[in-house]
Amino acid sequence: MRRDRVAAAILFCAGLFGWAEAQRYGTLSRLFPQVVAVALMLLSLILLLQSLTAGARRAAVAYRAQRAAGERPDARGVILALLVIVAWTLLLELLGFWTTSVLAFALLVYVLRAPDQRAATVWKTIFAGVLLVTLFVLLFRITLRVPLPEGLFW
Amino acid sequence: MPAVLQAVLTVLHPLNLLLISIGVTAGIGVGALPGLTATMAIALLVPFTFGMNVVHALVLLGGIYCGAIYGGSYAAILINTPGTPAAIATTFDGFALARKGHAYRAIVVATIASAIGGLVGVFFLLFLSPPLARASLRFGPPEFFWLTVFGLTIIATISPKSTVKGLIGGAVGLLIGTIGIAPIEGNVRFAFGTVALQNGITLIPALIGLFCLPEILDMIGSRYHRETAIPYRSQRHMLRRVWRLMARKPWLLLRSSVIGTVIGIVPGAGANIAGMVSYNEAVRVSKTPEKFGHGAIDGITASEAANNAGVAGSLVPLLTLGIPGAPPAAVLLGALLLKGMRPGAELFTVHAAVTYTFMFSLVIANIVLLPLGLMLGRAASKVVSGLPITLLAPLVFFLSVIGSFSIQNNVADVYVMLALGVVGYIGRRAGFQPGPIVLGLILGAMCEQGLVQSILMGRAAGTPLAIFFTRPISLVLIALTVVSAAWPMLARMRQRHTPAVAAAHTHPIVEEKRDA
Amino acid sequence: MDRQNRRGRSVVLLTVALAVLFALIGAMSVAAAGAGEAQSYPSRAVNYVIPFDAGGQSDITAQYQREALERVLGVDVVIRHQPGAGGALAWAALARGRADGYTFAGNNIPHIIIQPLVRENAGYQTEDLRPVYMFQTTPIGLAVAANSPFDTLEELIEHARANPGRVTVSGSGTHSGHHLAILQLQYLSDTEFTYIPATGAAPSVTNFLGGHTQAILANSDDLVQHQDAMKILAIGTAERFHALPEVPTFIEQGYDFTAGIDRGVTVAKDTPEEIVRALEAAFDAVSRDRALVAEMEALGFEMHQTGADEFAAYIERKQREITTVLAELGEL
Repeated sequence: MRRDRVAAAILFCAGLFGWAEAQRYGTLSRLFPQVVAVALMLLSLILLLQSLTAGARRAAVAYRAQRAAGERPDARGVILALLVIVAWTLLLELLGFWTTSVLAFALLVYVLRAPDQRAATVWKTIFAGVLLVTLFVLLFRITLRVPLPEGLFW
Repeated sequence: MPAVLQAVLTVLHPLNLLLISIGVTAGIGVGALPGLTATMAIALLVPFTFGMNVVHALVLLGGIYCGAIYGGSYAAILINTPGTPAAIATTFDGFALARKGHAYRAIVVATIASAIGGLVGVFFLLFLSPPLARASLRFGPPEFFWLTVFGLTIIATISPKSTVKGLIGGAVGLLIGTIGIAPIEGNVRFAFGTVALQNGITLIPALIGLFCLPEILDMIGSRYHRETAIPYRSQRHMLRRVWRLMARKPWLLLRSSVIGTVIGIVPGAGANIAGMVSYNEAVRVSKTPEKFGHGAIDGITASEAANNAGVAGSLVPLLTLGIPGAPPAAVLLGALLLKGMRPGAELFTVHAAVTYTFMFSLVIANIVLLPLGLMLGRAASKVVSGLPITLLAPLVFFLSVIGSFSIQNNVADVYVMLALGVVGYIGRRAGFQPGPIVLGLILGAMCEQGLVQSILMGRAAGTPLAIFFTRPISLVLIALTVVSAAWPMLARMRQRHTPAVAAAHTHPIVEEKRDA
Repeated sequence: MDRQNRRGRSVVLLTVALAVLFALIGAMSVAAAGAGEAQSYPSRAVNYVIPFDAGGQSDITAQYQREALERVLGVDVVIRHQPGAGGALAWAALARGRADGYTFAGNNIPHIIIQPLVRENAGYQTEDLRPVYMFQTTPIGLAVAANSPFDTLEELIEHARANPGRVTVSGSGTHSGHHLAILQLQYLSDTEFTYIPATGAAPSVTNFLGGHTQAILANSDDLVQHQDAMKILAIGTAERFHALPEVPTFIEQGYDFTAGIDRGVTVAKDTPEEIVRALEAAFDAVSRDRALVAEMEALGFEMHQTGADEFAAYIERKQREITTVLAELGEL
């Protein structure tokens, strides 16, 4: 399968990089990572060979047929959600934990809503989310005294 | 024996029973939330116990420990993310069962297994602590090395679809585990000049990232096809039905509990891998190994009985020698010292009443775990299956963030979680499962430590390599490793000799294996 | 459909507006607290950061101090753990953070000195931190198993001199206090041991008790706890150690060095002088609490009452000493 070949190539490079990088370290510091890196390279070669066999080709055809027939994941939704999630963590220290979480939560619910969903449902979901976030933040901040990032706001 | 009798009476005092129940409940809550671990629960609550008397403090903390390790199964079953590292093996069959609408059944299995495993563990703790603790000291660096090598053979079992991909995952995990300061010469490895990576990759954020984030993204990707993360089907007389099924295999329960206790006793190995080792053995002994991974209750039983037995196991070296068997036990050690109690012989003489009270409180904790777990588990599975994905996905991610951060009060851990989460999602789409990667990460540091320490010991003795092959426990572990590594091949050969069996199970896994 | 969409959007806008409002209120309250700061320190809860794991010696010490500290300061003291990179992670965060005295961290010598020396980028320099108070030392001692053929330090050294590299010594890690102690002993006695570092004090003790190493360098509290299973040959104090009075010091036996882990607290360099002094006074009061001192001493700790200036001078001296030793032994 193609994705296996791509994976094998990437992992082989990762192993090679790890081996080369470890070359700079002391004998006992590089022993373990280099052994593992070599194992990783060998295993990716095996994966590459496997992906070239006839059996793998048959499996690939079956996989593609299965995917065509089955449900396709909503790629746009995943990417949008991932963007929100990344922004969420990056702004954590800048804006403060509660602020970021509430904003990102609302945004995420909005991004994920179904096209035919009623506004009242979205509103309820957001409200429940904000409530839960606030509860947890209060639990951590006040009861358990975990110092969550404060940032500009809270 | 008056101390023992007195201890039993103390434990049965209503206030202590109440504290144990509170502890177990709180522990279940913390354990069930992905990212909040038993270690953290105990560490966060130690300050609250400061003003309490020593008995109350200890029974509360003991209850939390038991509850948290058990509670980890909820997240494992309901959202495919181990709530604590100990519950990794529970995800394999628990989530599969939940996907079929049997989340509550999976939780009932986990509850019964945990209670029984916990009780078996406490039995060993009560009656066999001193000899077991002394035996655990025989585990030196070479033994740790071989134990981890043996642990790595589990990969073959937990990646039935493609052994090569499983092994690659394991190697990646081992390599990620080498990030940070090297154990012997102090070289900073793979940190690329950043301060954050010098600390290495912390287990919990990696665990959440690799398990949880891909699951969230999967939920999001498929939200038009299914309203909620898991369906929920209620069934009557669940407890009785499940118990009848489980009672048919008393050996599985007992074996898993003993494995859990023993692995828990070995200092440093801890409950984290007890579940996986036990799962591995369950698959190996099973007559229908192909059912594992598709919702076999035996898989849940093996994992959960072992990890809760490991709780008592980790207390064996703690109470007798003052050496914690697992990270939560290390925090308990701190709590003991704060109360002026030095683990070791003194605990069983000067403080005998308190020590036995603590041990008996664990018996009670494992008993109250049954009704509490069934109640909370039912509620949890109903709530999670009732939540729409639009709420569940952001909520689980929020918990992942708060959990990764608060494990070390470090924002860098949140980025690690996110980065590994993206890697895990892409990997999952390419057929790489998170289990082997996390296993590699857990075992990596211990494996390398054992390896280089053994080399140093060997050099000092003048026989650099002999040290790996001349010690009795090492030899046993080597034999186990060889058997465990060769087993899948042996099993396949056996299957070929009995074509009727192979034909009866035309599972896709069996097919793919042959293609490989 | 379109209308619902629009309503959905307005709902989000409303939430955003609400969130901003709340955040502003939060920010104002933080600012108000900031304004109060200058008048009297401390006016709100302080954070006591432990650069090591929960359950360790630094943590236990801090838990002991917390109550008394809260009494003296009159505010909540929140202990939080930020372990990693031999303490460097927490110290780097402290050096980068706000220098307002509301966050202070445990200061462990030699760790706080060694990390920036042996690492290209530890994230901080020892000079980025302002020592406040030193309250405790855990002396390091050298021990062999109870059934070992060696009864004195001299016998062990003789044996090691005759068989270079053959004697294995367990310790808590690379570039730790134990590592430094073995380097100093090797340097002063002209011997060569095989130092086997573990990932902390507990696994090191396990390795030794299991008979996997011949000797161990351990902290005094571990020595006190396990004294029945071992023969303690020497201890790294200047005078005899109160908890183990029959054990001779290294100095007595002709090896002129002390070894120990010194614990105190430190703040960011630019912290206002009066806040440093207030904190120093608070820790001084706590460290003179007789009951507390007695409890800590029973656990095998040596208690001190060393103020900011003396502590700073001590760190400077230690820094020079450690730099010299590491340089001469080629560890730098």
